Amino acid sequence: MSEAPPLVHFDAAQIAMLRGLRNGTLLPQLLRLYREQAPAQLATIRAAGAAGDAAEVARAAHALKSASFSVGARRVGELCAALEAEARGGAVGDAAGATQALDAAWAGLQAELASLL
Amino acid sequence: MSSGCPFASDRPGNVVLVVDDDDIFRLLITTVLADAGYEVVSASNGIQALEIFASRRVDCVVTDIGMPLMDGFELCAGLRALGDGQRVQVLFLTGLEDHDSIQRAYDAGASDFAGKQTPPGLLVERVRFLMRAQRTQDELRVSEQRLAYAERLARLGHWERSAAGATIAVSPVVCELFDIAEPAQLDWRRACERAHPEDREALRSAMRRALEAGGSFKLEHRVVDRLGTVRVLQHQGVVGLDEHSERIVRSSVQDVTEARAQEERIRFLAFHDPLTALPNRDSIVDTLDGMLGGGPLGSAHVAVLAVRLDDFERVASLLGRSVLEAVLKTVGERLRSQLRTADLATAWRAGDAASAAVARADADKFLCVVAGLQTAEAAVGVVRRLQAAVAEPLALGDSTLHMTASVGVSLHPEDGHTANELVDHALAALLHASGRKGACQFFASEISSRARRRLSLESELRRAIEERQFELHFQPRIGLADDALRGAEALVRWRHPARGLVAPGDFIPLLEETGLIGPLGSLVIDLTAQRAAAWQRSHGDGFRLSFNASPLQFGAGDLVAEVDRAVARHGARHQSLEIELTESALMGRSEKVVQAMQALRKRGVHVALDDFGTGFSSLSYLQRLPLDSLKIDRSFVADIGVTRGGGSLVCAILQMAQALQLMCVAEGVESQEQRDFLQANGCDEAQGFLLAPPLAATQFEEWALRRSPQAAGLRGLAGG
Repeated sequence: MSEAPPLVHFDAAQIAMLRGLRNGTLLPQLLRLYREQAPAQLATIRAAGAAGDAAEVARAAHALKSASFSVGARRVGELCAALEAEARGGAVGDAAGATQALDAAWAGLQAELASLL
Repeated sequence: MSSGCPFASDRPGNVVLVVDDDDIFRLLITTVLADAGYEVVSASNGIQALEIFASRRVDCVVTDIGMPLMDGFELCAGLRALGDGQRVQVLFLTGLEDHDSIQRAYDAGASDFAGKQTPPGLLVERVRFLMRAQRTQDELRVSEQRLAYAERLARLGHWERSAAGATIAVSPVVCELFDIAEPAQLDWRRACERAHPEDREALRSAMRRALEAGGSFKLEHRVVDRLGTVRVLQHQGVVGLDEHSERIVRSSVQDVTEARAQEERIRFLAFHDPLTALPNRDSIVDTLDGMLGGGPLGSAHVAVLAVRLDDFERVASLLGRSVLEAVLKTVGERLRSQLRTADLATAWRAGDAASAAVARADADKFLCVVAGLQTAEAAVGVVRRLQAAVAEPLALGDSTLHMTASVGVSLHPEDGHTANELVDHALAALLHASGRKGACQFFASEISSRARRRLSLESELRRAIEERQFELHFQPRIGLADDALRGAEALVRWRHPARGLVAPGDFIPLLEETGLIGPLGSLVIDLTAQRAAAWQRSHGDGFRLSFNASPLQFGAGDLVAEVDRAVARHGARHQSLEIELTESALMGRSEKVVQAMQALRKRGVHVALDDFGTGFSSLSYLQRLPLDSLKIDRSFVADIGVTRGGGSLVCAILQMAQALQLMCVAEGVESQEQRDFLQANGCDEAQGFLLAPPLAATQFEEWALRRSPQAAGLRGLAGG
């Protein structure tokens, strides 16, 4: 991996730490898992948000938050955390807005994700 | 690790169970921990985690909180409810901001928590720390288990309690020892209640003194459990202060029942012969030391008797080992019972309390100690009794074993002053006696010579009987009414080859003691019959010769048969003989003696009761006896004319004799006044120095001749 551009969507320190595990073989494994599983969580958030199911939004947001922080996807993780906190409050005020922001963040990190694999 | 070990494995913990429903996080943590050297297993929810936990060893659980099916709290509570789950470390991963979750985690039994964002490296350190804590905890637990195990093995425990007696801390084994089910129920008062009633006060006062003086106590006391089993506890403690400066008592309690019983067995074996259970030599030396050190012994002697079975080696080779052991036990028991009998105590006429002991000294030897002997000679009597006891036939199945014993004797104070000295000297004396069966050998010291004199007298008497060194003297008996010679009493004398004539008082008691009275009695009967045969010719049919019979003659042999034999041998008539028996001879043997008396009377032998008035015969008893005459004891006769009313007892006896139709003979008539009195009161016959002393046969004949030329003439005719 030579002269990679500075990371924007991922936390560089976390990525560096993960890259240090198992001679760098663990990081791609984790990222592939992330890329496979995240769309399902996003879909759940979208659907539950549209249905006004705050508990389901909180659960899915919590799960995606954990996975995101684990792989250092900081931006997605932070959005999930905010959404989870809001949903735990019992209401999803701007569900559509939050979902859109989350989808955008997810789409935005794809190139960087691919570059890390 | 052996399968019998009661402790959990103390191998360092190495297994981590990661529980998280997030695959990514679980993979991450699992990898990090595995790379750090741990064996990692994982589960995606609580139920799966519990299953894994039940199937294998897990040392640390790292769990997420929010999970489907069973969350972290439920998992933790579930683990703590399991036996093995109580000790496992549980690390919760949670959002740092989530204080409620942290509180709930601890309530559920969490060991620690960490933020989910904690960098994996730090998380590994957390796990490492928990594992170490786990190990320390395990080690403590194992060490506690070991202590409890050791305490249970040693039956030793500690007990810490307040000055007032409430338990602060206590080992389970202490509760067991006091038979109290729960540590919570154990306090000083209850412990004291379990103490043996005889030891309770000692326990309480030991504690009281320790509390008063602020010192320590140590005692052994018994406890009785609810089933009544008694155990011995060694209980020691010290009064001190706890961290709050409160006075407390720290004590240790150990069950020493087995140890004490073992010591008792050892002590018994150290001081006893295991075969006969008699004391051993060391033990009897101790006993003897006690006797010698127990205050002044006065003039009394203590005898140490070393008793050896004669021919032991031959007997041992003939008998099997088990039979031999039975023989030794029997001999030991016989010796013991001989020394125990009250009868023996009278043998030495003890003014002091007599005491005696017997021990087995070695294979064929016993040691006896007898205290309170008034004379050194009395020891011989004891020896003879012991020898007689050993000589009793011993039935062994179909056959009978006859044994003899030799005895070595040492006497305190003559032969030594210490117990060991006396024992050594008795054994030395025994050694000296070896070769002779049934020997009695005194330790050769100057002062025990009297006892040895007695021994030599005894052997001289045996020879005297064999050689018939005895002769009869005769004291005439006359009719008071007609002054005619009626007969004579034959009195035995010992003509000692060196010492000349020996009076009966000097040898009769010894003969009775040694059992030689029987042979002498037979000799006397024979000599009397021989003389009676001669004198019935010279003095006529009415002349009666009386002889004295010892009570012991009724015990051994058949007196009647002996009289018959003597009469036949010498051609005498039964009517010419008279047997004199003392009242004491009748005591306690009446049936046997009465039968003999009746048989003799039937044959014509005259039966007289000798020394009448000195015994305790009741009138009704006298009436039942087959008697011909009474011989009034000399002591009553001596009172006649000496004291006022001195003759009244004699009168009473004479009247009684008349009533019973018995003839009366007065003994010891020494003055004319006595003779006149007796004659005036109707006494039939008299005997005494006034008439004649006991006379040898030829002197008797001369005396009779002088007194009655007519009778002498008759003798001359008969002899011619």
